[in-house]
Amino acid sequence: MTDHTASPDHPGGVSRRDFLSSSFNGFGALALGGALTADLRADVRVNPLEVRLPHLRRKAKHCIFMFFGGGVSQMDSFEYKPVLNKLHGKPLSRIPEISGELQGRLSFPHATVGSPFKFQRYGESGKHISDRFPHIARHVDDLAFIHGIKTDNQNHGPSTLHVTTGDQFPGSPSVGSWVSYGLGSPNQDMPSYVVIQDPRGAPTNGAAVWSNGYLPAAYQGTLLRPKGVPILNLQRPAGVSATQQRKEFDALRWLNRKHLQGKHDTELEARISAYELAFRMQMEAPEIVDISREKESTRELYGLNQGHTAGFGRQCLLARRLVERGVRYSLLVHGVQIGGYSWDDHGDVKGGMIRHSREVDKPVSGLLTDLKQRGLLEETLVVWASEMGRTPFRNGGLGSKPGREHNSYALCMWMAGGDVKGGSKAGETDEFSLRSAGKPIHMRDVHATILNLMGLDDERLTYLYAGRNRRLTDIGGKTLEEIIS
Amino acid sequence: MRSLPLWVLVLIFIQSAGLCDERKKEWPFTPVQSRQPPAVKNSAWVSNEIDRFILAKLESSGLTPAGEASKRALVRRLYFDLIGLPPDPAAVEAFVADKDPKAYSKLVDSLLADKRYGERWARLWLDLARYADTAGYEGDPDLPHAWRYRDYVIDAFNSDKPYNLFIREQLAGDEFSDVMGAGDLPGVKAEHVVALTFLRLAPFTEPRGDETRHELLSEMTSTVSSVFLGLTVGCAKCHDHKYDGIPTRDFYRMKAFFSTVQIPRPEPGDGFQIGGPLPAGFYRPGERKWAEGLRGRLDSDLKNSKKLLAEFLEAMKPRIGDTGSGAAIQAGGGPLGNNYTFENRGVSDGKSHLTVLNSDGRRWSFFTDGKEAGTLGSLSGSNSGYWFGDIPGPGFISIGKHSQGSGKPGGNPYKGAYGEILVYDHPLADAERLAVQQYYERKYGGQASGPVEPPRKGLRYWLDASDLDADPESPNPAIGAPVASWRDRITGLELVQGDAGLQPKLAAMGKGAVAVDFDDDFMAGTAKGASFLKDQAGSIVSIYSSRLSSEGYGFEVGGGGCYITTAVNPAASGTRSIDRLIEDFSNDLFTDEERYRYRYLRTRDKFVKQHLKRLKPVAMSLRHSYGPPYEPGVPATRVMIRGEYDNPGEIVKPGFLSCITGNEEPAKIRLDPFKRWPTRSRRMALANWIANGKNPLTARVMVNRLWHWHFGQGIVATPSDFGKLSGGAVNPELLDWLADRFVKGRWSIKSIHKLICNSRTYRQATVNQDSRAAELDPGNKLLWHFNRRRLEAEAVRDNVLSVSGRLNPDQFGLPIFPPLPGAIEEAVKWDKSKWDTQGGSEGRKRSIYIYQQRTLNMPFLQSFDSTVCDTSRDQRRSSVTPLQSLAMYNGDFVSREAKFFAQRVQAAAGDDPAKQVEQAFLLAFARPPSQEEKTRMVELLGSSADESGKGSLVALCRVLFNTSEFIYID
Repeated sequence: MTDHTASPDHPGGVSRRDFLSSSFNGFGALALGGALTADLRADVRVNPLEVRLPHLRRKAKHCIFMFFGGGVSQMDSFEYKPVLNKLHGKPLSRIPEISGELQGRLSFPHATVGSPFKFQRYGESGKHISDRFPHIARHVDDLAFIHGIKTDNQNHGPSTLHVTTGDQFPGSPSVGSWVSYGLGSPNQDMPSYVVIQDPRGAPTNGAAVWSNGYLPAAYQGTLLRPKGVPILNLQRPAGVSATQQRKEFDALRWLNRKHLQGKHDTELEARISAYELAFRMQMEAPEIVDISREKESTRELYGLNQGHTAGFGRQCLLARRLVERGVRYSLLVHGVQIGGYSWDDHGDVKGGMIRHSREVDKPVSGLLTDLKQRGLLEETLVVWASEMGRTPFRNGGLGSKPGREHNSYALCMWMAGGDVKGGSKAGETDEFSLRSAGKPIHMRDVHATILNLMGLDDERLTYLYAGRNRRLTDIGGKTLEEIIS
Repeated sequence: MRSLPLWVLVLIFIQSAGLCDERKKEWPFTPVQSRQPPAVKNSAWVSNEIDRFILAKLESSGLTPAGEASKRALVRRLYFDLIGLPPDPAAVEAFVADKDPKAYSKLVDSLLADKRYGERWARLWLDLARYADTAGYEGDPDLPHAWRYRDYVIDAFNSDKPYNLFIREQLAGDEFSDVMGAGDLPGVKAEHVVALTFLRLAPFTEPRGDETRHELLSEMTSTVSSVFLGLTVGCAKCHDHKYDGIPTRDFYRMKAFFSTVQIPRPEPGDGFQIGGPLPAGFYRPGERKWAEGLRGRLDSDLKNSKKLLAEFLEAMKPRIGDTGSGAAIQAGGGPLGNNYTFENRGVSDGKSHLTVLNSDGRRWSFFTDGKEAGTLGSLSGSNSGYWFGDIPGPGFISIGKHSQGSGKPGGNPYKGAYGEILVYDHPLADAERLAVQQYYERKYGGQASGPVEPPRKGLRYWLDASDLDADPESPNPAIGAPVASWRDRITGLELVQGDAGLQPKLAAMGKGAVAVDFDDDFMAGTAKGASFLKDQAGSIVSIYSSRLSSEGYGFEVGGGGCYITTAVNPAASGTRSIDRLIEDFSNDLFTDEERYRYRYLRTRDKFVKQHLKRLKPVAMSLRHSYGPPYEPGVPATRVMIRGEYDNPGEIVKPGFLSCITGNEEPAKIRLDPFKRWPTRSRRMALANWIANGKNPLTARVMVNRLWHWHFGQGIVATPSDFGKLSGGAVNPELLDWLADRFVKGRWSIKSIHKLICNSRTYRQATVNQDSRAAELDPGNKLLWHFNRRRLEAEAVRDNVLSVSGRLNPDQFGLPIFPPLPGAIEEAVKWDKSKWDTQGGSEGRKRSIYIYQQRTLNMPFLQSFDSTVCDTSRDQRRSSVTPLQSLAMYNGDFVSREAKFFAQRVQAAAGDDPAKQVEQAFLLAFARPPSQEEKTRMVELLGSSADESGKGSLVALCRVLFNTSEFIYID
């Protein structure tokens, strides 16, 4: 049991009873490393988003998690597999001993698909990157790549959930919820966890991707709306002036204080302050997401001036502004369910990758550059993630515009910022990028690493629910030490 | 386990048997005992046996219970607790005035008999049943028949269906009748077919053979055991339970009861992942008639909607001008606060065209083929505001595709050729416009006469396709060659496209004029140095041509989300154009109501067809396999090592949990005399074992749930987990006494409500004057006061609607779709939204009827801790966040209802502020205001101002909706 563990008689959550506890003395009592006993009931939180001390000393205070829906083709982006071009149109030269989904696919006729893109070495690390990502490639020495990640299910729905919540079944808290639960939020005027989705639509599973699952509602992702007022209900009711609203809030506070008289109820007190927070959020949040005053050079950096990059560029620029204002976790989603806006290139992987990559390459690079020049990359963990990897072949024949199938054995991700060791890598795929060449890295290992880089120990960040101390990493992940400096 | 040596297996067996040794059985696996209520000192306080159990503990800890709550507090408490709605003021006053000592217990009885009781308590059961109306995952397909289970549960609570029957119906509703002879299986009662929906409510995704079946049956196993037995058996799917005596074998022995489950295949046209329905005629009283009537209405709705849509579109047309294919001018976004779009026919005729936009703040005009529109501004409808200027620090200029800065009316392909763009710093006078027109006609129209240069006075910006690089010293690129940049003749400002593969190409056009052929890309430049942009008035002249009807392109100036643009968008034809504009919530051409109305009419087909499907007399149910020779017989159930579907271990037989039975013997499954149906009776065997008074958990778990929902905390703190991590029962004797009463009292749920509500324990005030109590028992485990609690999300919404007088009391039926704020159903949409927004009274039924869409939780309810269930949920949280305050204070829903609340107050209290305050308090809090409160609120009334005259009363109502007292029950 640790400071993050709900005690057995209080199965987690910010319940009324918890609020009544008099044993709670604020967060100053919490020691780094959490040598705390269960009966301290540290889950008791008057303000669920109050800043909490991390388990580990880590530089990152914020996380920007970029999720590319549909399954980015790793051998057309960050994995150089020249042998595929030699085998183009032919079956793989070696069918490995393999079970499950890949075995199923390989037992059918298939044609290897060479990458239509040129690869080149970049940076001191000499990492090969395809010509679809010339901007990101410039940052290669700041990035740490993870290759051959295994996810639990190759269907879009479960796979998206696995990467974003640690579980292929719906109902579990997303990574951002865990991080908010573990660390609280430095900015009380904004939600701790903000979601900026593709302006063209929602990802597979919709809001389940940023769900708080069984964690309290305070840890849910708040969706920034693509247009208009950024957060729902930030605008005063029609016809109510600011003065009038202040007057009403004062009357409300007066009534609530009256109601509180003679009661010792921290939940009711928290409610009174929530209205004051809401009042401030009304003032501050619109400014935080107002990018109109950003300098021209900044707009250019993120690609706001070009049609294809303006969408994700805006998402990235907003993420930087959120980091500046102390928002703990931002989830950026690129791609819409299934269809042309998804990186799900079963057919025409060339055309698809050209379209998708040019929408994000410059914005992502701009974000890294901007964070770095503002000294924020040190304290911001940036994660590039997708649903799953893709296969080096297409089932059936090549067809006129060859594409690639799903591959739950070869997801490729990268991270940057915080204590990430730039230029490093974890894992490696075989010569075909079919699956991990060595011991597979499971998604939970990646989640453990993300938590670790945020200063959280996945074994200690737990929440008692339905008979178990739940964790993001379920049975526990192995931190990928090789990419941590 | 296959590879383990025998001695290891024996050892494991001995160990696991040891866990279940009858003598070592520990709570909660010990039988329920009939307990004698303990003696207490202060027997005068006791109302029924519950109080003895509670008081005995309090007395032994040196504590005294809190005093009785006031009558006003009690009536409000009972209403919300039993029916989930507030009492109306008359009921409150009648109860307060009633001197009958039995008034309280009579109120309990009448509320338990109230048909609204089932609507509150069913909601809590639906949480346990992980009820939803969609399957989740990819596409989140609709489960059209799930709602019938919701109604079944409401009925079950209202009719006080014995809990043991309730269990058997949900687990084995299809196995009730005995099969004695030959012939087909006997029919199943429609209600029982519906009850079985319980087993099918887990989220569901595209099936993948054995793996899906394994997951599906495993989920049934886990959910059944946590809901009915309070044991987290699911933990044992992959490994022996870490805390409780549930070995992995037991998980699979229990799963074996479900091994013959057969789910119908999806109906043609339905998503493949949702499974199909089984016949289940309408059985509720009046239900068939209701369904037929509704079907008739929906049919005519379907017919009418086409007519209504046509009428509606006709009425909306003037908003966007002519809806033929054509050109558009648009200014919008951000502080511009205005947005013009108009279109005109006849630009896909292969001829060149001319637009003159006079941005003097009043007029613009649009020409095609050199012909001026009838009157200036005539196409602008009622909009005559500034469409130009006021862009604070414009950031960019682009030509070709519309950038994301506007995004409108982009999205269409816009292949085409651009002629020329001229920007003036002043509105063009008639003579100047004429000159421009002549220039245009000469240059592009092939006329011999006319000026060779456009008017130069005030020309601030000039993009001319005939001189692309704007450098007179260098030649234009060849026809067909890519154009890398396009420089403005006046300012020198340059639009560029750096990517050679994406550059527009030079094309020939018209009478030898050159043009730029835009394909899938555009040129953009910064607005630096473009001084005209700061002008409040000016003119833009665009000269252009389109060649194919599916083409469009534009010229745009913008920044920070504001933009002005001219566009040729001939693809926009007829209804497609209005469709695009009306579905796009970022322009101000239509009100949200109009957009909802449009979407409602436009999507009638889809929604009505779905509603008609919902009205079929079928249910989302399951059955057992028919068995050989028609369908599979009984498959072997194996332990799946680490829970993996393709990692089979030993074979197990169906059996009950050994921690309860103390042995691992296979369960006896009573087949029919001829064993013709070997696949049958498995689930019934399990159901009978669970729904049995001798099962140590079933009754304990259910009475604890009831206790938990009444007091906000259970006797066991974790209602779905009675295992070691639960911390055990605070008062095991009381739990046993209640469980015993429950079983002996015909498993009547209402009888337990009655006992609890009539106890003195329940009637305590929320505040106890004894200050030591909080120190001795800060968690109030011993119940020395009643727990103040916040209303659950559904009750908050229902309370608002009740108090505003707008709650639609209709019960049962199809799911409802209340309006959502900020068009969020669009933000999470899959293809077309599933959300059939109902702006009328239909959308104001109680919250239990709201469509439970797994990918879209209503934000208002979500902020009060509701979630659309993916897994069984045994308790609600009560969190406090600023987003909740914003939803209550600023949100559309509460703002709207505050106005109706005010009207209701006004109608009853007239114009006297003091009377208004009194009436508002009675409605919202079931009590009159104190003198102090009255003074303060009258002051608020006096000092408040709103746009409307009644604003001040609305302000008061809004404030009351937002108070803690409104959503907390003392």
